Amino acid sequence: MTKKKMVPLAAVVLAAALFAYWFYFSKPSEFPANEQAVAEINRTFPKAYSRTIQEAIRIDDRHMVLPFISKVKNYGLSYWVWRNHKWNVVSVDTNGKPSMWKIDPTDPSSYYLIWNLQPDHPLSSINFYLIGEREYHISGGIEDYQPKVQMKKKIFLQEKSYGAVQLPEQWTASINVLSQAESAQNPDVLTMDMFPEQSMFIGWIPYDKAGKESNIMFEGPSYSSSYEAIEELRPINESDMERP
Amino acid sequence: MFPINFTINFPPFNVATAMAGLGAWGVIIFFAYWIYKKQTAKPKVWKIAAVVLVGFFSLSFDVNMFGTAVKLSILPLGVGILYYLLNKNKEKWQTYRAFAWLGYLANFIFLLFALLAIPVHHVLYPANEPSTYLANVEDASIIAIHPTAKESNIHIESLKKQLPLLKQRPIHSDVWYYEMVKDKEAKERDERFPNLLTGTISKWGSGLNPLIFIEADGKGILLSTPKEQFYFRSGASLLEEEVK
Repeated sequence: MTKKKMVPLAAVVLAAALFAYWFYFSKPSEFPANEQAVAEINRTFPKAYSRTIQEAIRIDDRHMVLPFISKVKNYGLSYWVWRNHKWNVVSVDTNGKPSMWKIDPTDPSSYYLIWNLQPDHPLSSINFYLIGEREYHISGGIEDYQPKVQMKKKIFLQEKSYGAVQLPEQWTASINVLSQAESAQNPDVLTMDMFPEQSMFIGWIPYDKAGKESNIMFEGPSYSSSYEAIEELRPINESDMERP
Repeated sequence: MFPINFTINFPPFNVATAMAGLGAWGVIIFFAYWIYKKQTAKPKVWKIAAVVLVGFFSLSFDVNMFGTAVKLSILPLGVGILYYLLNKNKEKWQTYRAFAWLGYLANFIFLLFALLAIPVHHVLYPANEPSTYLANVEDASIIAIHPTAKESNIHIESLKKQLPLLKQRPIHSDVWYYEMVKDKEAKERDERFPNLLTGTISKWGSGLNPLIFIEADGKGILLSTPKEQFYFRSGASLLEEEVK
């Protein structure tokens, strides 16, 4: 190739690289104002009927959660990701049920518990639980015992009936240990299940103002759609908890 | 407020397996060289390598041998493909035939070395020795995975002192299970192993990454590897009782 042709080619490659860098890696821009955010939610998911943004909760540079109130007084959640040089609504749930967002599915320390409950419903707190069942197996003279896992995280709802918290450090540590042991057992797991071996899950119990287990109901129309690793958490009963 | 957490997603380094892999490659290269020497036609080395690699391709199924999952090749697909491609020129096929079959044979060389690695691994890293799994306990700590766990941490000096004195005991998984569960409501249940031990390092090169549970009384260790579990008892408690 002649020198004459090299120069424009190099320029094109450089321009493409700069554009790719700007498009994929540049710092996220200012988050849209509330009215704009409402419009964006309704444009992406028309059935959300979002009307008021309660707060813009920053998870990290590129992830936001915006709890909102809909036209019919539903308390919902919208999940936002900075991607392709734009803030995108990647999931909307009009019921605001407690869910977990796995920002990086391979790293449990990036998992967040997120909720938005009706404030007129008299709840005072939520207990979140990391649960793994006690099990035993005997086959061919080989015995195996899996201890019960039950770890608790209490959240108070006095000030706000919505919020987002990172998984407690102790949960992250035990999930890491338990799932690492699993990856040694089954090195070519292509499916990125969160808790493959121990059939572990995260559940939640709501408590009312009197500190008693509440049977909160989610009424009204619900609509949700998700492109991300967001999982609804399992409602559980206190009667199933050991040594509550 | 954001703890840094590294999740190791690759399986830990296993010396016996690595040596077996190297040994198998050595034998394959030796055979390839031997065939090359005997032949009058001397093809290019990269072509030989390509033919051996294609020859390696085979239809196989997984079988369990001595507790290890291995691939048993049954149909030399690669040899078939090479025959189809090269037999138009009889001389060419004559040149490459032996290398193609060597590729297929390589499957069995790998299998043989993988089986040889099993007893080697057993000698280097005895499965029922606690020191295999607890080679370094300097950074050990415990996570309470059940509400009945005592508020205490691991006593590292005690653990080090007790390691050579630990006695292996039989696992009675069904007894343990029903002891916790039988005639008891969930809220009355204890857990025999309410602590998970983290931060310990297995013997270098063992590739082992067991779950380690500490018994409620602080005197028992349950080691859970993907293949089997081991249970050890110590004379003194391994827990640092919290002074309050």
